Amino acid sequence: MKTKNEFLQLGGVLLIITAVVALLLGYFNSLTADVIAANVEAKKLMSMQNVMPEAGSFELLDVAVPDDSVISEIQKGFFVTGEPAGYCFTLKPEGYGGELTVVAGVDLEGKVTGVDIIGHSETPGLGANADNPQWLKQFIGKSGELTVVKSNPGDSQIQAVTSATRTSRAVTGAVSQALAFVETLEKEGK
Amino acid sequence: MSFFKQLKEGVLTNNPIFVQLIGMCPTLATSTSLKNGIGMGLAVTFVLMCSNFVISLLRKFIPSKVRIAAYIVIIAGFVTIVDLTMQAYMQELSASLGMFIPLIVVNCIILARAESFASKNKPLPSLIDGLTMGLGFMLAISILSSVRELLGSGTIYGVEVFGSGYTPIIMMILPAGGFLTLGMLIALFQYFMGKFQKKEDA
Repeated sequence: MKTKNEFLQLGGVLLIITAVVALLLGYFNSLTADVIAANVEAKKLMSMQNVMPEAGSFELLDVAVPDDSVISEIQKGFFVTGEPAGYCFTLKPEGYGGELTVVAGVDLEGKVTGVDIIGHSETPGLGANADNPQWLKQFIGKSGELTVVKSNPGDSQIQAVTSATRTSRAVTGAVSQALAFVETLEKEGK
Repeated sequence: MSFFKQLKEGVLTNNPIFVQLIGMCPTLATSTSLKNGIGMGLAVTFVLMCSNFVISLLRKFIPSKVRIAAYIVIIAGFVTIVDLTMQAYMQELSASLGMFIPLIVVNCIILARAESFASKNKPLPSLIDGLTMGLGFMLAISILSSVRELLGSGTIYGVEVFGSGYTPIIMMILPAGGFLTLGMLIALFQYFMGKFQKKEDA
């Protein structure tokens, strides 16, 4: 019987420690959960306003996207007057170091209004350089099927980040998908 | 055991990184910039102090057969507090340290101090041990990340040092640069420690 009691005692001590820690963490989580959720929302809103500066408010669209699409969320942007301004896409393409989170704004004419990278795990100094406003600026005004080139980009072409073709292609491909999807959205009258 | 003796142990003679060579994974991964290095150092120091203190308080209550499980639960609790606090109030740092904050749970430095110090000593010396070992870790990771940031990005704490004409040695902020810098720093540290010890012996 001694061993049985011993196991009960060992388990009991572990149970007490785990329960106390869980209680404390539950309390701590209740203190920070709202702040963290607000931070995430604020960050998203900021990046949407960043890629579509003219829009004053956004509304989540409930549309089905194809399974192989990198589109994870679409919000419709509205001018302050209430007129629709365009669409804001949250895109999750696969980069070199994992998934990227890209936000892209497209106006009703199918032109890019801005692109922002809000999350990535690309190589510092190489792929991570894509997260640079100077590089992202070249997307503005582009439309149609976008491709990546090493130098001298023309219409619907994007100059790659030096030594980071995979990252450049991931971002460009994702923006292309968003551009292509705008047509579908307009057909559906969303 | 006096505070200064413990300080000397944590920072010099028994430095977690340069002498004990533990906690290498977060050390190499987060030392790409001084800001990250200091953030990581502070987080580890906080967790180390809290977990050492609590484990020392409970050292007679925790049966030795389940001590590792009990330590991990306590450590994970403090790490989660740090993680949540950073996500709520230090977003930028939290984003750049990412996964490495939760991974402090399995950082060998913390478990090693719990096992070899806190479980055998009174709460106050354990708290001080957490502080001094944490300072040793922070000092080492700060030096390492300063060197890597300076050569790899041409900046220190985000401030440009070499001017725009400098072409960064990208390898320094990649894993290979981390290993090279760490190796050289350990060699330097051992060299000076050796000299220092000889002087003391004489």
